[in-house]
Amino acid sequence: MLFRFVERKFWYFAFSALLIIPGSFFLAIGGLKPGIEFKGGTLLDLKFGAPPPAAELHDVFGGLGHAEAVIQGAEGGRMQVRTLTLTSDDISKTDQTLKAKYPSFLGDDASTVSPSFSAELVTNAVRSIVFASILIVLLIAFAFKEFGWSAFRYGFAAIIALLHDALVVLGLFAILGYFFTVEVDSLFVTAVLTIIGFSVHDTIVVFDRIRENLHLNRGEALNPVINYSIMQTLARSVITSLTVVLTLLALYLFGGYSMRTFALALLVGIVSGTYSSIFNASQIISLWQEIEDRIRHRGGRPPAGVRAAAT
Amino acid sequence: MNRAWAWAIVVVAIVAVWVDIPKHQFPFPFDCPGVCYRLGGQSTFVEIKTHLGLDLQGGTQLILQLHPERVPGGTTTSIDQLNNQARVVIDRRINSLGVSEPVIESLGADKILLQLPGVSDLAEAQRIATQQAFLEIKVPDLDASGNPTGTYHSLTPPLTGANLKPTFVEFSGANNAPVVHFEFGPPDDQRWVQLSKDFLNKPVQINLDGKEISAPRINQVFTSGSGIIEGGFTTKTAKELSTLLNSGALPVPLEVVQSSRVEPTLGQDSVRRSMVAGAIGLLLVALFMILYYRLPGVIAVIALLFYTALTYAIFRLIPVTLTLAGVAGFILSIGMAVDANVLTFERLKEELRNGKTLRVALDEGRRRAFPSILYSNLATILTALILFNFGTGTVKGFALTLIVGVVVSFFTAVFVTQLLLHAAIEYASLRRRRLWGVEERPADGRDGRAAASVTA
Repeated sequence: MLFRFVERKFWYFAFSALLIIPGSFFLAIGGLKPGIEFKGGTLLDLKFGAPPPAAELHDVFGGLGHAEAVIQGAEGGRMQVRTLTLTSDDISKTDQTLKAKYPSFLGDDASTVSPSFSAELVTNAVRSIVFASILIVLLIAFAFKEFGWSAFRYGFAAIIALLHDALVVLGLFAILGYFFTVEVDSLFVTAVLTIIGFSVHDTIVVFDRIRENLHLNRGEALNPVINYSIMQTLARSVITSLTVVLTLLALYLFGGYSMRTFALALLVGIVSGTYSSIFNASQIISLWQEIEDRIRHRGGRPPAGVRAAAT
Repeated sequence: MNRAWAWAIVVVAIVAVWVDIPKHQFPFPFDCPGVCYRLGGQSTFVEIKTHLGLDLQGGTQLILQLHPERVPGGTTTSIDQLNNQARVVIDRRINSLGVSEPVIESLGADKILLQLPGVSDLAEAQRIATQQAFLEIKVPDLDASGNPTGTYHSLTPPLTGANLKPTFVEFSGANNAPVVHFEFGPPDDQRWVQLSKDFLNKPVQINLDGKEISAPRINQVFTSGSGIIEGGFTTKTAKELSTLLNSGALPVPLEVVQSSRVEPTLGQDSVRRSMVAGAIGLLLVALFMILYYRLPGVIAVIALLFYTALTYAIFRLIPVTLTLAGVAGFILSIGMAVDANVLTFERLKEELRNGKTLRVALDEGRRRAFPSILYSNLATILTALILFNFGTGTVKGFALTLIVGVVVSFFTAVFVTQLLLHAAIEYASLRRRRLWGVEERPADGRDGRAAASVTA
């Protein structure tokens, strides 16, 4: 059984574009909503005779339109609530609600908090990824050194697959942010970093099989080799993602509410990483080769008419 | 050779499990919850425990009040800027103590909210957050005949620690006492050399936050901007001073106005549920591996248990502060540990289907799966190393857990799994092809076992 992974590459590219373009659009118009950790906001120090459970308090703030509230219990019956910036009207409304619901509510203390994560965290992460990408290209080029200069195209294809996966997740959360005001926090940043790590890992496994098969079958055309290399690694790609997806699915379904966004981001990213390693990465190599062949064909040999005239 | 490896792995496993066991819950034969040793007069004691982050465990919260009015000589810097600078300094100080992932926020303009995971040492936390670490070298007042009067005055402009290169602790003198080695950067290094010429054979005073810590006599003319601070330090206090000096002085005096215990930001319930969910997920993975790969699956699960015990032990020893982000790194590295096994087993199956004997298939499978495992893990380690170097806070912690996880998973997948696989084929009853997830070949049908035994 041979599946035509390479011949149908434009369908797979189109499918990826379908996933990425809407997300990128919402990303560009600022759909990705930074959470309190990046924006700062208001810290309410609530005092209770008998503090309610954090989850219950979270629901109360959700009812007041502040689902972003982070609740943290403190010594002496205090509950610290971080929300996006509250006006004094918001605060008095919150006070009334809390007084009505909790007889033991004693009052609060509101202050403005700065972001706990600087923009520096994100810029540093992005800079690190750019730097790491360059090193990954070099590492892959080194691993595939028997191909000479073409080794670099494997590195670039891996980076394109990486960008694909990062964009799918960023785009999804931009859409979620735009329509459902889902916010991203520092955990989201780590989720994206995790996805990037997984993506490269997955791609390298497929590429290494292509390398080995090209080595064993010298002189064979690239496309069929890519086809059966993907076929041979298919079981491994699916099984490995499946094991990670199982763990994440359990986290998504049974984990607490604060885990949801995080598990969702990872889940989507891992699935996308598997898709791009099977349906995109090697196809880029194939496309690259085809374009190169076409150019060489045109430049290397004189056009048919000229050749006919010469002979 | 194989035997030696096997013993080494058994020893590593035993040590890892010993480190993993929470000691304070057991009546141990000796009263030491960690690593303790005594050598001559020196004794060291390192407590082994799991360090959980603020999100999972909660910790201590300090609210610090800025006192710009107490800045000596007054200040023209706005309070917002002072607040920013002070937070940068505190962040640097805490980070240089290890990866502990604090929360540092400004609370209004004139307060700083600082949360540290755990409650290990409140006094130390307060000292680190509030000690100004303002270093100044003062020179002696001299009487008419040029002898020191015992009092000191500042130079103009004052020679302070603002221009110090990174300091470090060294041991010097007859009793090998810990001292802090410092070096002035330009232009203060020239002033330091000049000072040694002007006050040769006279004492200078080294002040920290307006208090004398030592007043050494200058015995010779200095040739460089370096010197040492002696002050009857212990190794710990010397390190603390060095850290404070390296992180820079606080631009404004701070005072602790409130300190309290805080609960985890994720909520106990949420954390507990996530842990249960994670355990269910891992159980499913183990079940799947055994059902799909049969005997190699069982071996992979044993290797994964080894992996988990060893990684957790390393987390406790470094120590790594585990946050939810760190747990993500851990999950990813488990995924990669599983992957390395899957890669090897898929190759093994392929070789077996091609008619190779178990022993040959094992070696071929390992040899051919190795480059994939090596390069994919190298790429991850490379990325994680860069993130660790340039990252801050959460990202740094995540990178550290990922590095530890991937390195250990590489070790388990390549050494432990292989060793167990080779051990398994020593037993005739474990050589049946069915156990390795391949059909009995019609070719060797009834004699499958015998054929394998002969050629293995």
